[in-house]
Amino acid sequence: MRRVVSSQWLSLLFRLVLGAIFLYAGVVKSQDPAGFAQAIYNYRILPGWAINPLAILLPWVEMVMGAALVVGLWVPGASLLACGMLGLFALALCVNLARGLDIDCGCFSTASTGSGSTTWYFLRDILLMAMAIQVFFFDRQWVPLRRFFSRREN
Amino acid sequence: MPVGGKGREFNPMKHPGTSLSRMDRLGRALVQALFLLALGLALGASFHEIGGRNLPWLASWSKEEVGARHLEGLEEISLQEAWETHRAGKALFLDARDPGSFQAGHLPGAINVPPSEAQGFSEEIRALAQAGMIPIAYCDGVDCPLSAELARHLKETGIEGVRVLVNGWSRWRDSAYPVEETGS
Repeated sequence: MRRVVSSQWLSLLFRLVLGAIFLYAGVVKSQDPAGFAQAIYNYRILPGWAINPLAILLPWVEMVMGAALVVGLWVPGASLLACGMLGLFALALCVNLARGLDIDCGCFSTASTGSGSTTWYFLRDILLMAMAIQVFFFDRQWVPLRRFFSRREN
Repeated sequence: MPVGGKGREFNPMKHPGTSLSRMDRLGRALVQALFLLALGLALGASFHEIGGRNLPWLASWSKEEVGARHLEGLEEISLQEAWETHRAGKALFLDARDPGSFQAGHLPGAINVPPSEAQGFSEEIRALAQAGMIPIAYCDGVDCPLSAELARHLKETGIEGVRVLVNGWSRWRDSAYPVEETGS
């Protein structure tokens, strides 16, 4: 089991999957910053003045991070940044799960079961964070780009 | 940008091998993460200034303004008019909230139509609207987007005369008008 968890092939797979997800998410959000701003507003956590700047800038951070993970450049930093962002996201989801707020619409549900989608987002976030942690600890950057840079430096 | 660690310096641009201590590795990762963050922020700010997609850096996100943005292009109905329409037997209340909230209480005779399920109800609503009923979408909260989303969807499918009762559930209940629970 330990060998599987620390497998570098698994790290490579996780790194590519995470990178692709962040790249895709960043591109989609950057195409519709107004829609993303509404999604941020629906969390009811940030003050109004912070919503638009975050909607404009965050997609680009995701894209840069996703690109770094895909090409295998600065993987420790990219995976650490991914952990930090996913951690903040998980915290925001936890707060809204506790408040009974449906983040799809920013509505407070009176249903005792809370929002199914918020729970699903939280579980998905935890899974992605586990992948990022695995990459941080076990990735050895098996990508020609790293070897290329290493050769040039030697 | 060198980062110190136990008397040894290393450059985060390089990958000096696997012999780094945990603190060295964390320090290098932190520097890289900060650089990636700064690069993303700089790129985001630059592309916004060059090709801006009509989102200003600062905008008001008060509940009233958010609610007004949701209503753009739609027709609102006042609480009083909604009540009179109901008294005349012509109100077709459409509750756009989640099923749990609907079951806990809703306007009299309302149908639960979350926006994601509007397609399945559109023919029934169209038939009732053609028979003289006035579709009135509502949800809960001044800035709740669900009723506007539902009304917009119905309007796009060609159903005329759909109105939105802003903050409908809370205002109706707080005015002590009759409400129903599922099964009642």
